[in-house]
Amino acid sequence: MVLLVTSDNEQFNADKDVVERSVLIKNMLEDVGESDQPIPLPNVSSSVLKKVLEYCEHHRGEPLPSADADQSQDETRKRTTDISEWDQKFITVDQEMLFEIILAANYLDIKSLLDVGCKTVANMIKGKTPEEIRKLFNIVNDFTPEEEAQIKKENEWAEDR
Amino acid sequence: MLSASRTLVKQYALRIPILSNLVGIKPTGLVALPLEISIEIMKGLEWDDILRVRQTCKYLCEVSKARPVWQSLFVKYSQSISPPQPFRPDKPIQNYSSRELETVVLRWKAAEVGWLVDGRVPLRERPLFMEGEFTGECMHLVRGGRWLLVVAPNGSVEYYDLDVSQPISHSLIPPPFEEHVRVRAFMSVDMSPMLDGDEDGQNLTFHLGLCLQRFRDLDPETLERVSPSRQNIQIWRVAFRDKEGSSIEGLFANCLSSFPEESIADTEAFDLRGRYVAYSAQFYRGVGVACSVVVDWSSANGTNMAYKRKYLSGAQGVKLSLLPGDRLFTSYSESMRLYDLLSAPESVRPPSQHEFPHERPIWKTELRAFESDFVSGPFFIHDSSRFVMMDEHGLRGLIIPDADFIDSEGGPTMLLLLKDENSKSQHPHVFGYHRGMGVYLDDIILPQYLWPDEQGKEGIAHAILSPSPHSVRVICMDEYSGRAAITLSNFKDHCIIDFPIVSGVH
Repeated sequence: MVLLVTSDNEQFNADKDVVERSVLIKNMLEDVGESDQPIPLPNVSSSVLKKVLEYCEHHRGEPLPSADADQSQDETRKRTTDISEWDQKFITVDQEMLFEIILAANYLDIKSLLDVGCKTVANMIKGKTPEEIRKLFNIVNDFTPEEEAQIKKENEWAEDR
Repeated sequence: MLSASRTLVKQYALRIPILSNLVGIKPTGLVALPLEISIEIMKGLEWDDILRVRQTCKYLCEVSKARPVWQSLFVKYSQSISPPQPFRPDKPIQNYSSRELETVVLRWKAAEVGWLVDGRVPLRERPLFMEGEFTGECMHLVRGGRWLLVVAPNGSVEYYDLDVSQPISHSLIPPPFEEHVRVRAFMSVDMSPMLDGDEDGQNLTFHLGLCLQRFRDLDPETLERVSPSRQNIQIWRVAFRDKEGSSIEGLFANCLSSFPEESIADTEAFDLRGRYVAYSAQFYRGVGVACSVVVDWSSANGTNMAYKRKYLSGAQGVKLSLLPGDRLFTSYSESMRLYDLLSAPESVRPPSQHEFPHERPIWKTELRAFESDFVSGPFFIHDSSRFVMMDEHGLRGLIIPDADFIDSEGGPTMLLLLKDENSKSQHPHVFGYHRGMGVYLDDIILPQYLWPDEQGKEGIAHAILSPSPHSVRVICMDEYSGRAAITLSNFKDHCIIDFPIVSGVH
């Protein structure tokens, strides 16, 4: 069992093969060796870690992507834009949590979870107008009216279908 | 971990706090993600979604220009442009700037959009300045739409880089005879050296064949031969030169073979593929018989005229295509034929009419109301050679299997790709594998079609108003970039047309 401590000082106990889906934690454990020391995760809150551990629990035992296969895997990953049913259910959370999970997956180095998160955001963007995207993600339009008119003109050919 | 470059990360990391100061609130959510994650999200989008995200705010606008975003689309789309052959860019992908990648991707997509939209997307027109008079056989737009090859009246070859706003001519191959002699020329481009990957380096490489005949030897009115003619056949290896080691990007050529041909004159068609060249003449020396000649150019280099030729007596063609499996396709008038090269007799001099009987085609077909000099292709795909042509019912596709066939069993098939009753009146027209371009009065017609062994929507044809009110005489086109070079009927004015992409500048 491994003891994890979140940013809000909550402690989580989890199986080694579950937490080792995180390359960051895996490397840490390898560095410190056998130890009962708790691992601090100052960038992850308890609510997020709970979700992340749920994900790792479900995917325990699956092969981890190897580091040197990065390049070719990157390409095959790109072509499969679909997310498995369980992952889809798992990632159906509010936007704030979605981005927290993405940030945590990036920090903890859990490639497959980062992937699921990024694909989910991409799927939310697909087919929407610039205004709809702004609204959905609360994006402040910081273009001047001239800049906006210009950039709209530059890209309007793409809508001509 | 992720593939964003470090310099980019630094650059954008600096930008975020500045932007947030401007709007007075701390950004959250999508715009607060680290750059590498924003890029990863964009990599899951299609090109048009990326252009929409670009319009939302300054930060996402910057992210939408990142190299990994366009590199991933470039790889994805270049694999999906599979027929007729996998697309290979000018240079290895790592030598492309993000801007270049974006421009190439958007140009493919502009062509895709342009061919689908009925008359609403205007074509951009740029004049192309050429000196002297040019004929249409002597222009070729290299796949990808960037390089236009043109044979000048003296037989030299020039090229234009169409990715610059005002293309100018660059010299590629010097004139074959004395500078002032006018030359009748045929040009054929063989892309297979690049696609087969048997050439050194990863830059764009192809073979260019020229059949050059001195005009002086012809009667200027009838183009009949009035004195013994001199014909020269040349094969060049053309490659793309990267900026490194040279001040400009461009094409350069090395001569692989050059040899004279005086056994026949008045060439009507010419083709180069692999180690063979083929050319046809309506008559050969002193005998009123049409023939086609096939030569292994790698063994014919030099001034010696006694090289081996395969004379296909009776094989007439205004279009010739060398096909896999040692075959020659000819089209003439309303008839198309296929010949087996292995069975054709070999000789160093032309046979008399009595020596050789007419070579028998292994297959032939007739097609009504079809202009044989506008047969497209061939496209080499799915173990077959394919052609696109037009008859009174519309666009026809011809599939010739590479495998051996006996009579009609498993032999070539002709099918209707696109029904179009007006097809006959389009003149001129050119056809790619999926898209064509034709001219009818002041309109440019853009047909799009599918082959029966493909999934997708049915073909369509629609008109786009021509950018030029003048009558068009010759078109050469690249279907993937949506670019075409057009020669007007006075043979003096030329222009480049394409679908404009504003954000790509060129």
